[in-house]
Amino acid sequence: MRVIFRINRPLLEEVRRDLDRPHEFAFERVGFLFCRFGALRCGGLVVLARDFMTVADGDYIDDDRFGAVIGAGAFRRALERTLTDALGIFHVHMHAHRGMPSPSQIDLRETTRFVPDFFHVQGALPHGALILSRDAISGRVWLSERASPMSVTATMVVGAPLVLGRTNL
Amino acid sequence: MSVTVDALDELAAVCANAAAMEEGGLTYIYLPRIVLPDGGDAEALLCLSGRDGYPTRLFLSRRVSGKGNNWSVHRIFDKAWHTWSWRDVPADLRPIEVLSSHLGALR
Amino acid sequence: MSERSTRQSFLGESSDATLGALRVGIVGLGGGGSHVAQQLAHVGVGNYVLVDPDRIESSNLNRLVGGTVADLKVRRWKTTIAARQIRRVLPRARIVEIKEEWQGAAESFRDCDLVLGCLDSFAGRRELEEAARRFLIPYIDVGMDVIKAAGRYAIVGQIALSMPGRPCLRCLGVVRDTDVAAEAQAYGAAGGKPQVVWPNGLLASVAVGLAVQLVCPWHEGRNDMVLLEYDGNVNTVAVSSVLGDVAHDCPHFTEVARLGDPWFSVADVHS
Repeated sequence: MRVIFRINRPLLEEVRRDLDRPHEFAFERVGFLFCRFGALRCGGLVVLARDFMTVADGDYIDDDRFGAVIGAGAFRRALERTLTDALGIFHVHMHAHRGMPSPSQIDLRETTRFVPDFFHVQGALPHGALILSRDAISGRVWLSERASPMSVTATMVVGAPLVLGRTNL
Repeated sequence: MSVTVDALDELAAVCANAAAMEEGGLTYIYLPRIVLPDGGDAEALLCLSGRDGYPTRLFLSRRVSGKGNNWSVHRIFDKAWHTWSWRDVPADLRPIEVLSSHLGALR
Repeated sequence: MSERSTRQSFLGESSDATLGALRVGIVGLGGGGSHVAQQLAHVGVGNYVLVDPDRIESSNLNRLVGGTVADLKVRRWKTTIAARQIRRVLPRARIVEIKEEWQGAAESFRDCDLVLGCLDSFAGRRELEEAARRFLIPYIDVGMDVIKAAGRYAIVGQIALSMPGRPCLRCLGVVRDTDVAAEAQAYGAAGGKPQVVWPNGLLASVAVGLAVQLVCPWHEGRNDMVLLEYDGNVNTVAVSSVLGDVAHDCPHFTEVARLGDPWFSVADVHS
């Protein structure tokens, strides 16, 4: 299935700036992108990034088994937002390299564990997880708690220039 | 212009689940199903604010053939809506009267 | 790079692939849109959604690129004429033709990377911009007019870029509330006004150049705010002075509800 992800350049730059900041003990930062949606007439989904929520320094848990561990409070604040404005929630973090980012085994395992829980709060909209690299975006989208995730197949950074990324299905 | 609870309640008498929606600085009342003079039904948007030079306007999810003049199609709330030329239904009428006046062109 | 693109290699090594994968919506395939379609094909754009509810009429022959007397005899659809023009240059182009008012088929260009609007109606252009912005699609608006004042004719036109987040057609003064109201009072009769081929061609060319620069930036000029004004009497295209007074961020589309499909349901998503 085609899944197109679009984000305005200023918003993407805001996300990258935030995720690039060093943390006292976490190896990497994470955040939440809130998105709206549309179905495609010939099949598929378009995901439209609207807002970003940073995770405060104090919400990280010191656990050197993982790049970043955040507490329940951070998730709760993000989930509250999905209800007030009918937004899907996408967990986002960054890999510090160029080229298409691939999820690690830990990324896959953890997102498969917590993204379906988002549907307990906002069951009517898709949710997912995104990974940014220095110059590309990859992601996975769940349409329901029990659905298998679908990969993002195309991305667009909206601005001048218009940056289009496509992955093979 | 905001839509009052009373206005929504009044319109709910003819259409369940009437709801106020905003776009482009204008407030519309969305009516999921109204019965038209031709006996069929349609979704409707009632705009009680000035729009396109009209004091109020009614949009339908379909055209009514043989009735109404100068039909045009518009994209509002990401859907297609049809309307016709029916001038000067003032905004100071009760919303139910505005709706009835517009539908009068289709009788 | 393919041989057909060797003369545009300055667009970049990956321009062939970028343009070939690009999906462009063209709304309005009359005098302006027919030029746009033809030029995009020459440049190598590979995917099209063509929208126009009309068939060719005799009064179109003075400006509809690709339209022929034979088309007139069979009352060919304007989208079909444009599709034929595209395929003459790019036989493998993937083309969706929509032969109805775009307002009823806007879902069909949600997956477009870019939309170019070549419409006569102010209301139509405002609504098309809204439809594009809902899905974060850059919209290029092309407009031309022959106006008569004090007994003299003037040809004017403009190309405006409506980049989501940046100034919109309202910010730029291209579509004003008074224009929309006046048009509605005249029952929306935007057609029948004077139209000729050469300003359409010029404006379409500038619009296509703008589109190419957006996806294959071949120079470093900033172009997320574009309003170019054409004076057909002195033959100039100039950057509008309006840009100097316009705020960088658009205040008109900020509500969450104006992004995406407000009626969206997961049940609508199918493979």
